Amino acid sequence: MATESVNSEITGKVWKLVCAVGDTVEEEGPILIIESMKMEIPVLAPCAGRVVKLLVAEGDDVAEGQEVAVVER
Amino acid sequence: MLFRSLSYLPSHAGEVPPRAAVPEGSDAAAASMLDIVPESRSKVYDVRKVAAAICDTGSLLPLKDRFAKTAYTALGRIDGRVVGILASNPLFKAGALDPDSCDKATSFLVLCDSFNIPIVLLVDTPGFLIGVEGERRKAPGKVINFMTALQMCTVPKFSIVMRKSYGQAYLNMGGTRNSDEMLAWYSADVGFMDPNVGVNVVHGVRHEDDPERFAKLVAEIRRDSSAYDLAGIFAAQAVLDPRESRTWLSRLLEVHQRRPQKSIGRHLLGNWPTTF
Repeated sequence: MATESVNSEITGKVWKLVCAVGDTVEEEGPILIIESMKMEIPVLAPCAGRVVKLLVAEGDDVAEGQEVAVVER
Repeated sequence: MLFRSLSYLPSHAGEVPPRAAVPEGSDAAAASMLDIVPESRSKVYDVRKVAAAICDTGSLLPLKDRFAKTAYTALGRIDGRVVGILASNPLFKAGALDPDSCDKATSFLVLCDSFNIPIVLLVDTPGFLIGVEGERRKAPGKVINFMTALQMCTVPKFSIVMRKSYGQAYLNMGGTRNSDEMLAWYSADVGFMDPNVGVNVVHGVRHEDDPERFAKLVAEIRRDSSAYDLAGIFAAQAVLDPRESRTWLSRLLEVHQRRPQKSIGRHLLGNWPTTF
């Protein structure tokens, strides 16, 4: 099964994990929410599939481009 | 797909795009605008749904949909008339425009101007994404190119500020007379930056240090930034209920057909390079 990296598009702080490892997601479905610029910005799945890794926890700082999860198609 | 794409374009540079029949029920979606855009300023939404609610049913043809998603570009129709939708999408990077978005927007503006397609700008953006990476990718030059391209467009340009429109992005998305008609939803908020960040920048006060003074300073910075303040200095022609957006745009498109050359532009961007 192919896997896809899920990267944060923006620098910020992980505010909420919307999915858990093992959950299925749709393409552009939210995986976690980052707080940045006083806004709650969802990090979206690049493809439909199953979340196999969550690489951050709530409260973590993330940088733009940082890998935050992995989705298996 | 090819025939569909060509149906949005005129046969030659001296005519406007053909007008199509309006699908039944096209007016109905505008009523759902308040369900699409959250009341809370901190919540995001998908501007593609706003564009779909404004345009005739099924008329949107997104361009470069998978590239630079912060900027949404699409051809569509309002009341049968072709328009080019250029919108910031809060779903991606909170709507902050990055260098790729500038490139995407600039080439889209050139396309619309070349084919006599009126431009509709839907604005909800905290500004441009700058910083070290932005500098490496020529962000300042791309931002100015984007603004200059908009200024050189001579097709009708209508801008709707939906929520935020801060800083330079306000100009790039039609502000300060860079559009022919500026409309503002009653939720519009125009300023130099987010007031909560602005207090820290201007006064050096953080919320956690002095919440009461912070709140007072936020209120002060926020003064004069509402849709009504914008209209009060004639920087916006009207303050709208979001559900009225389609009706207003339809009327403005009709009015601008009364230009001497209808909505045919002067094609000042004829030699414009779309890369920088």
